[in-house]
Amino acid sequence: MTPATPEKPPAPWHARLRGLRIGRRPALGTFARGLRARLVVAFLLVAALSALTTAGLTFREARTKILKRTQDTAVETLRAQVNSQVPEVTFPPGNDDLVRLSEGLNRAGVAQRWMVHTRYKDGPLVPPTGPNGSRGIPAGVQGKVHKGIAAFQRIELDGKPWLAIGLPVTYSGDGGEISGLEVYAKLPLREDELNVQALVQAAQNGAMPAIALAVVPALIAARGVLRPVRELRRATQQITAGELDTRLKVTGRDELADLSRTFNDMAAALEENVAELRRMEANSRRFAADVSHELRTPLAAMTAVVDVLDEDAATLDPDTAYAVRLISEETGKLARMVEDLMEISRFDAGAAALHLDEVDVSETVRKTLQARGWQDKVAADLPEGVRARLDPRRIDVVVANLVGNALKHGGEPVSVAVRATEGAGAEGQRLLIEIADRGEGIDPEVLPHVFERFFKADSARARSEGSGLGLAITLENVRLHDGTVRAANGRAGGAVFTVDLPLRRGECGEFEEGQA
Amino acid sequence: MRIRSAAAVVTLLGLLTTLAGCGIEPTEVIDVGYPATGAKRPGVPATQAVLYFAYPGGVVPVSRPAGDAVSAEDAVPLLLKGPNEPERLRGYYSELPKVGGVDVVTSTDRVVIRLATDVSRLTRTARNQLVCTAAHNGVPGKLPADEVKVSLVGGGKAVTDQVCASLFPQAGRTGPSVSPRP
Repeated sequence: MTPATPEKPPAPWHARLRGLRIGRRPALGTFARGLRARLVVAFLLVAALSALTTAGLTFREARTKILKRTQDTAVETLRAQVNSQVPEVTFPPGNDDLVRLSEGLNRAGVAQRWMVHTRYKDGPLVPPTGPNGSRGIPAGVQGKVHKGIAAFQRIELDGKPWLAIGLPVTYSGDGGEISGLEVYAKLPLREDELNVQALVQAAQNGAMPAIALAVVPALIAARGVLRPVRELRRATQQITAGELDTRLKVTGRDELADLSRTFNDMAAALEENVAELRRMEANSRRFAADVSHELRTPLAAMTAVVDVLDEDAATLDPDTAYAVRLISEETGKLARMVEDLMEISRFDAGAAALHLDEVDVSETVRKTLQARGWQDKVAADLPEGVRARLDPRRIDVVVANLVGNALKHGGEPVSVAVRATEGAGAEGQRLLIEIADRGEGIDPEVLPHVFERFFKADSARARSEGSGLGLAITLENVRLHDGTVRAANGRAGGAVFTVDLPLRRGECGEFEEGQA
Repeated sequence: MRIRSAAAVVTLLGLLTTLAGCGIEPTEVIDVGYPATGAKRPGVPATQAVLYFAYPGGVVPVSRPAGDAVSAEDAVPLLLKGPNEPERLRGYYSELPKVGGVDVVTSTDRVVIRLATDVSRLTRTARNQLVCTAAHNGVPGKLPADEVKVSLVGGGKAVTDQVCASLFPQAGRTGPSVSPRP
């Protein structure tokens, strides 16, 4: 085998498409990137977003309400207490009076757990707060109260939330005159903090099941979308497999239904076009067959006449003799071309029959070489005992074409080798016939085209001895045997043609068929 | 698509962090309504009701501001209504039973309180509440409040000539004596 890439012969489009695997399951990776996964993820995102937004807004509202209630309650209670206790204070109050008032207020605030400090005019806070006034009542609140405005502030001490309230006290009566007595209370918001934390927890606990539940509608929605998509895919595969009459059932009026309708239109157009193309192709093939058939009869007459003339050429004057020989030569070439055309037409029409016979392959190849008088020009490596069921006439055509081609276009020495390989797995045993020459080889650019009809490797050489159909006929013959033929350039230079056939033995029974 | 997904994820994470980090935030100083009131103007006679409520260990006076001078006739019905919310929060209570009506008659240095209940069955604290409240509010006469005599009548019984002996009678001083039944 040559290292060059073996070129598969071009197959008709439907045969090539049929090779595609049908009903292939998508891989896991494909699934993860698939429509279903994307839909589920999108649903989850939306659900998470809405759940969290709802939870967040609810939480903020609830937190505000909780804190507001606590603050309002504390301020109201403190004010009521002060209103209740201040009348017992003698004015102007001394330090003992302030201590008694503070204690009284502290006693009344057991539920709120507040700590009260009082002050009269510019005196010190009673009882005194911590050193430097830290951990006490914020200066902002004190400033407000000093101006006669009740105020509160939420503060943080040691990472814990506290509420500081300041109340100025007015003289009884309608005047509202500031008495100079100031009452401050500081109370922990620990319970509120716990409440708020419970809220956060509740919000999170609520959001998670909501997100998890979102998977269900996501899967349902994905199913709704994916079913038409799956049907579309199945139909596409059927069309790919050649069932051009496949149509989708259109349900609903959504975009997917539109897509199905469009698909049906496409399939109809494709079916029509393909039918038209087939008809045209059949027509042109029939035309070629008809033409070559019609040409054969006059050509036979011409050949007979030219043969007679050719025999008499010796007696003619040189110019006429040259002309006669030319005509004779060209007529023979024309006859061969017509024969080749008819052969190709038979393949195209599917009328080429395979007459299988178990033969010795080496013997067949040797006979071919002998019949053409090539046994001296060709180095043959023909091992004994390679037997196979094949059509000896067609193999003869194949070998003759390839060897003739090598002798004509490649450089000598030309070698022919027959080999049987132990095929692996399902492939079974293969029969290989290799024809190699030592010429310049084939331009890699034209390699894929050498088996095309009327293809000339050298465009400058417009006229050649062959019909231009030799390799095409070779290919059709090999394909009739379910084999392949490859053209490549050998390692040591020169072209290598490899005929690769399944090695059938006698037990396969009679095998006779037209072209597939 | 990629950018939009990324944005969604970022929003989600942001929301989560907000939610998780939500605690109680400190605030600015916020004004909150009107000041407390009730301070006694020095030198100006107070217009207030002095009510005696029970407290573990005795009775204590509670001042309630009033628009006008309060007499014993006004104060006793107030006492019978019991402590208000702030007073209850301070731990004060009343041992007086709920009675339908009360009739308070004052004369010079004397008060007679008629109740629709058996006054001999009132607890000592309850009697002290009534006697002290009546004595420490407006009563005609010149005697100090501690010497004003108060009689309780009701349920066919009478407890006469009680004085508000002490705020805390257990502190070495005797309370009002109960007269023998007629």
